Amino acid sequence: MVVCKFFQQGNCRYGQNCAYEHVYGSKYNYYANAPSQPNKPQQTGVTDEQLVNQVQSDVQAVLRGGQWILSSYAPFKEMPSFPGIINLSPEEARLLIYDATSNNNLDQVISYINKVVKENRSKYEQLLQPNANIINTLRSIYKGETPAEPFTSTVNAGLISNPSSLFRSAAQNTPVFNQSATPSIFSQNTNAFSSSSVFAQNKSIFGPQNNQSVVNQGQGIFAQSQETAAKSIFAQASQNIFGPQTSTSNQNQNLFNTQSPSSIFASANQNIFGPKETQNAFLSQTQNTNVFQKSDSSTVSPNVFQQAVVADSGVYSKMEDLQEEDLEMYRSEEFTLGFVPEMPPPHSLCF
Amino acid sequence: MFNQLGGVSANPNKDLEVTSPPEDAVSSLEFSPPSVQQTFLIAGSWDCRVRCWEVEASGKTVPKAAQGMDGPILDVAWHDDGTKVFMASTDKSVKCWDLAANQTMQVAAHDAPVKACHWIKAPNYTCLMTASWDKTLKFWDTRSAVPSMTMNLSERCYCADVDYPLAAVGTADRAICLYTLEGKPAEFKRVESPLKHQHRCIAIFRDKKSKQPTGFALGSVEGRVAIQYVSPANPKDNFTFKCHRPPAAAGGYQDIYAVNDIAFHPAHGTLATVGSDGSFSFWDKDARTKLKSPEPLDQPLTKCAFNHTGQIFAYAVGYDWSKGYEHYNPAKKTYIYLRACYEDLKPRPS
Repeated sequence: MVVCKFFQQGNCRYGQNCAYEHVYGSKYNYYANAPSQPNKPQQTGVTDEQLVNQVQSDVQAVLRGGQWILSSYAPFKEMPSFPGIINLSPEEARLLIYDATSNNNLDQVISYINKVVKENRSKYEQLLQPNANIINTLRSIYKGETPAEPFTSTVNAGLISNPSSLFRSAAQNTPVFNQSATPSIFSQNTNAFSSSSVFAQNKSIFGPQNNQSVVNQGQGIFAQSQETAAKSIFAQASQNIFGPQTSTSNQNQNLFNTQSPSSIFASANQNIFGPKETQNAFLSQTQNTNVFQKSDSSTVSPNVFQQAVVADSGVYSKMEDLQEEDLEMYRSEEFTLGFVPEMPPPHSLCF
Repeated sequence: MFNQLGGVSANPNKDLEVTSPPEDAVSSLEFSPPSVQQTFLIAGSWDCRVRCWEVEASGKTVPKAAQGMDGPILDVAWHDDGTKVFMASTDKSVKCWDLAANQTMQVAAHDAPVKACHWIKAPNYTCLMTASWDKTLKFWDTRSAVPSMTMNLSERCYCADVDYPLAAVGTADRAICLYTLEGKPAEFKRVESPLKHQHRCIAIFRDKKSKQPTGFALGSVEGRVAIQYVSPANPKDNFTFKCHRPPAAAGGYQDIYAVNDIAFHPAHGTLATVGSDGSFSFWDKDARTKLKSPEPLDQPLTKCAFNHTGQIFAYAVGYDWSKGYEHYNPAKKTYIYLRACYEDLKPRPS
């Protein structure tokens, strides 16, 4: 996070491996030879070579740095990802393995994941030596067009290029990603609701609010509530719950071993869907017809969604006073060194 | 292909070890809200269980209760009154754990594993927000078996955070979507990602003066964090920085580790990051400097949390799958450590 002074002077020896942040200074103190920058002010000004250099240095860092390879990659900040790269989080990969362990098809799943890794690695490697198709795709992404997938696939891409298929297949109970057989846990209970008119009329919890309480609560969002302070939230505080259960799981290697799968809506007295409870729970809402009544904005403290509109138009430039170059700069997400406008932005580009 | 961690001890910072830790990596870690007088810590784990400890003033931890689900836990969240805990699992459901009764009840369901759950306390409603790999975001009245509202995500949810009236969701393929929760939940805007690689964690931060949510920090597998304002006063307020990268080896290329979690200090507004490299760092985003970088551990850090007063920093040590199945060593134990952090996270005097 510390800004590298040498970089701003144009002579940092460490380049992209520098421990300090490479941030361009203003155009007045910048001397370095401009490296390939993703956000050039004029789109015509960027060459294929610059685009390719940018991508090569990113991809080189990914491959040599040992980065998680099942990651999407965007050649340019705030632009779409490069198409065709498989996206799977470490947690998704982990779950596939855990499921496979309990389903005894570990070898199958490991070879599957290895195939996906290999596929992605080969795509990253193709980005290092881009062919004409890849360069075209880079250019489309850069221009904000919808890019076409340029990769020549080495393995069975049809199966694995769509990562969501992994979990879709899980729902369909295919042998590879076998999961619980019941797709909808609530399915047995839906009948109860369809016959209950109480729920049909009052599905929403976002009921109208009491303005009085909004004022109080709105100001007190960050205040501490004292009322429950003294009471212990544990009924059986002295009970040592970890003891026996820990030893059980020690003996059992099966990662998926949990307590016996209990009925979803435990016991009768727990059942909040019972008629008596229902009546109580929704008593206050039965009069409400407008379930999503909008809150009265005057009672709510100002926040991030309410932007102050500056009435004084004098602080803005008129569109016609600005050069095309400056406008371009204000339209882009980031200023580029050497092109920082000296005039204030126009009103229309500020909101 | 994979980086190796070596030559570092298990607890180099001499931090306090939480007793009876989970049997497998910690996926979620949360301290009790201010409505509870005592301090409780809950941790969800890949061993399918959620555990709760009481943290005494001395730093001593006492196991209080545990509950299990039918699949590994991916997230946990406290009810604002501190009497209940929500647990999101790969078994595609979310359960509500009533701590006093020590009983659980299903309150939400998805078509795929549930990656995140957050309790929303608005002036005019309360609800549970859940986000899943089924590419939906759902809002639940916990008394009803159908969601009050379902919104589609462009991709699988990888991370989410809520700080009323703002919710932020990061997904696969680098998408970010912000939601306003005022009145009722609604999509606020989609943000183009300032990061080039897979999103991994997201944390909302507040404005220093107004104490209202004003932006978010986003971490990626590339060892980089973006600080992004919802409505930046100046485009230059948004920036990214590299982290969790050990010094470059002789070859000239840095090993790259994922940023596994980000947490903002509740009093100072500074932040902590934990990474696959086994290290945690404290940062001042406004001064754009690193405050402290304690000694790295011998395993990745998967999760971190501050208690509501900002006195305690908790971090979980265990394998995060960042190097795949081949590097999973079940013999390596999971730990959770506690550290007094109030002084370390004080912002740099300006």
